[in-house]
Amino acid sequence: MSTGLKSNSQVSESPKTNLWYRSRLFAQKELRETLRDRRTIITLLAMPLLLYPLLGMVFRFLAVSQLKKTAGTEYVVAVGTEVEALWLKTAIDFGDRVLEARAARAAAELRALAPADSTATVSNNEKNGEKPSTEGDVSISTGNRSGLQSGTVASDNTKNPEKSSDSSESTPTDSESLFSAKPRMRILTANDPATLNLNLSVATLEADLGAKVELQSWDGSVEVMQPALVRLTSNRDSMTSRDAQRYVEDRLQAASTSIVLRQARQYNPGIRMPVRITLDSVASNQKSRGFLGLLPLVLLLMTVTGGVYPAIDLTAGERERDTLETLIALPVSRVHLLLAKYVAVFTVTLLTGLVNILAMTATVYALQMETQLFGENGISIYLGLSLLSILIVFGLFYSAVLLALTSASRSFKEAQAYLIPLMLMSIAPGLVILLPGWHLEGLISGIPLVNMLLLARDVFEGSVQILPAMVAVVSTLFYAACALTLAARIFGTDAIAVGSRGTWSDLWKRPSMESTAAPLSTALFTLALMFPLYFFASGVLNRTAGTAPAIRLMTGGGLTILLFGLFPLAIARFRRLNLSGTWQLYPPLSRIWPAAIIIGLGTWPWVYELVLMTQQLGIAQIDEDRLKQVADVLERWKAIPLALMVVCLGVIPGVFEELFFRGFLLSSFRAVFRPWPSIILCGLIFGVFHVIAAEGAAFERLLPSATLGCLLAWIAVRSNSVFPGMLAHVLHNSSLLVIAHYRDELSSMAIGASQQEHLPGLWLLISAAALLTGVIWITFTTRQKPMTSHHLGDI
Amino acid sequence: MISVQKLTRIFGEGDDSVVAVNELSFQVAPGEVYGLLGANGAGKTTTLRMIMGLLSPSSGDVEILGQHVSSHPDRIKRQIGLVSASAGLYQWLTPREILEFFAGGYGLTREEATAQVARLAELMDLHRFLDRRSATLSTGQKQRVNLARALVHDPPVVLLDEPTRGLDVVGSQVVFDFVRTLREARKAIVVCTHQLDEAERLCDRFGLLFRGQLIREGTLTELREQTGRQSIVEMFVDLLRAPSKAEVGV
Repeated sequence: MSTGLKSNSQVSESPKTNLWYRSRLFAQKELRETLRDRRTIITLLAMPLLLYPLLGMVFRFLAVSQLKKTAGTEYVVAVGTEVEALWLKTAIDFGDRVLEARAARAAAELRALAPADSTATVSNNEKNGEKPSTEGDVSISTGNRSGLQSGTVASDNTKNPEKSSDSSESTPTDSESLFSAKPRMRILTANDPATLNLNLSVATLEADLGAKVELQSWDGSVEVMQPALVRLTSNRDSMTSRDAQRYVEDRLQAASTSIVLRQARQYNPGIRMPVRITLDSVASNQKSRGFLGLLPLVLLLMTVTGGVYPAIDLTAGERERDTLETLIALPVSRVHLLLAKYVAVFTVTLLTGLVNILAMTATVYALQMETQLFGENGISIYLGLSLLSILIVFGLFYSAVLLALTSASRSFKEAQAYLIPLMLMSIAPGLVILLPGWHLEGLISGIPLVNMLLLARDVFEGSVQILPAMVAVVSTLFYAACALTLAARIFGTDAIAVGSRGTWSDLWKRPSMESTAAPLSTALFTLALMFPLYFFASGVLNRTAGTAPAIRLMTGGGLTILLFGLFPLAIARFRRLNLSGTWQLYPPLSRIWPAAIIIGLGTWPWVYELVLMTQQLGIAQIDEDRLKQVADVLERWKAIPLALMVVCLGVIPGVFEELFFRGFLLSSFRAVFRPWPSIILCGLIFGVFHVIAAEGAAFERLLPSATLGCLLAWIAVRSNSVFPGMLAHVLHNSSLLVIAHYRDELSSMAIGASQQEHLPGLWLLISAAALLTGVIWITFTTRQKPMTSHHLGDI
Repeated sequence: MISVQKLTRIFGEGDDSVVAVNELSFQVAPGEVYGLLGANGAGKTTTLRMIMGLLSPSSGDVEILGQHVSSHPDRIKRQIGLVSASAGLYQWLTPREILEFFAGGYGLTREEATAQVARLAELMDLHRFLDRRSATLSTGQKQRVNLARALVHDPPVVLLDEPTRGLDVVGSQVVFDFVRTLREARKAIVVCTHQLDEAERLCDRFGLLFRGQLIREGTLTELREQTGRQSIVEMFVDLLRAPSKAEVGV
């Protein structure tokens, strides 16, 4: 064996390849391993390709069988004599024609009288097979009928209805439409009327209905029909029997009323029925969902099914196949390894989602069910893209949850034991969304899983509302980050990787050594918890709308301190984070202060202009209601002392938001990323918080808040301190508050601007000059300051 | 090159705690093959995992090439190659893909990885099955890939955990040849095994582990002098018969 090995070499301490190359390499390996596995392919391709056609066929079969059931219903009516049978057939046929004429007349009247949408309703009803009912013309009494004569059903004197043209039956009048098909009637007569027992015949379900017709005399003519006493006997335990009774009763009543009316008109041609009722129906606001209501659940569950196997295989599977140890022996962080697995699981989930959408579309197209399921527009590209977007967000979330659970598993079986409850739990929200009254709004849009299912349902129905949809998407992404952080903490730990006797509680042990900044996983975990907490806190604050404005302000201030100050502080204490390093509580160079003041006072006009620009570009619109709300709030705030406003809305947010965003988060980002990505990420998160979490959340705040967030982060990076940015933030907020407070006075002095108008050019010029001065000042005054060891790169 | 200092690992807490490794200390020089010998459950694998940085010690530390594992875990991992009989292969990947993946994971560029895989294929005679799916390989072929994987970044330190377990005579001979090759290349090698006769053929120095403690240490000659026994198997039998370490004279 020739060696080919270097003698006693020492491998270089740092890798020769960059992080991106290695990330790609890891993700590539995970994907390659997953996509070659035939079990993945089964859930990815075979399941959707089989399921949707199968579901489509079942749906179609059920629909058709339901129609056939209606069309194929046959009511068997037992009568004593052939004369009774003939009279009954004649009377029912006549009553049927009366009802049809009445329905046609009512529909014509409605078309003539009703507005366009009502006409459409009538058309829909007709299309759905529900002929306008004429029940209003007659009074139907129900209850037991007794005193029927005895006898037995001896023979069927009618011929096969399908072969006989003169059989005693009513056949569908509109053979083209199954929806309008009517039940058939089969009338049986007794050979020996004396022995007929109608009660027994109906009780034993030999006949659906028993009819005893007592006639004085009759020549077979409807026109001169003699009065008859008809007794109908039904079986109250049989739905068909009850339906048959109702069916016959309706027609006999209609025939009777028509004959009476005709006779009355012979004496008084102008006579009319004292009461005429025309029945109309409209669709309820709650759209009938039926099968469509289940589609989001089917689609999302099918999509995540694709990610289940890879998630188990790439985590618990690695452990079971004894490949995990060599993997974590690589000089790569566990977070890095887990992210590669996350990419693979998410990719497979997304591919499954795509295949599902395609299979669903193909099925719906092939079975020509577009309009039945999705209305007149059918399946559009917009619908497909919207669904895909939802699947992406949902896939990001669910893949992270799957990995969090499977990372904690030591074997396939254990992972399956964790995932089965998850899948069952996922079905529950899917069924909840079928209930009336569940809409994507308010706090519901922050409930994981439910929010995405509701959003998918809204997409199907074409009734998406932007703001709740955004809340749903952003909250789901935050939950995904939370789950991923948890997965990163679990994956490859001693207890899981090497089967030691460690327990779950080991994961929550305090580190033995102090850190100068929050590890990225801790920062993301805090952020992931912070978002829903802030969202719900905002909801709580909105519920105090009835309280005094001053109390509300102070409550808001208190919540800000709690969430942005005390909550991260508790986490920092638990994780043994050095407070000065984590919050960047270092004294800055004294010469930086003037620049912070200039920027703080000079930024607001441009922030205001960015809001306007956002609107003019159509990115976000402030509607009249919202403007009115803002005006009302400003009016109410006039009664509050300015100092209190400045403290609650200027100083507290300025101080504590800086501590969290430019201290806690930024220091963590800077320990991992280069400065500019850290600054942009920090700014974006700041912007998103201001869109979603604020009272009356609005998109117009994203761009200005994110820009301001980036500016403040840049100041923090340049000064290596949180304090200058804090001062600028407080001044920025406070100056806006002062201007809002004195806006009437400023307007009377012809200074200022009305809502939705640009600020005077001079103001903008001064503001731009101030901003520029501040930025240049900071750039030059901090140029010589050496960066600390973990602050990589130039800024 | 490898310096293990008072390494201790305790699993569990309180009454349930188990001392898997107890104040273990030893050194391994370049070009030396150190045999860490012991029965099942003696603490061999736990020791290797702590040396690799996969398991954090309850106390003590490991120094490799002058750097502490606790301070620079990633740098230390780059200096170590691990061979474990229990280690599996990715069944859907080919040996070439596996080796190139690990080479990339250790920071080698694509070109370096390709060249190193070609070298190792030559060294370990992998050519015949280099592009076959791993699931189709025999046990011996899988072990060859495992050995090659440990050298894919050409580390100065190689740890072997029960390297011949489950292998036949031919397969075991491949491992022996592999260890000799490493010794020639002046690597520092630790071999954990309970196959004592094999260890005698392979190792330069021995550490006899018993219930997490190092009971005896030295070359075969030194151990013979200490125990009066000719073979390591006999030494171990004595060890296992003794109810406590006091009776084996430590």
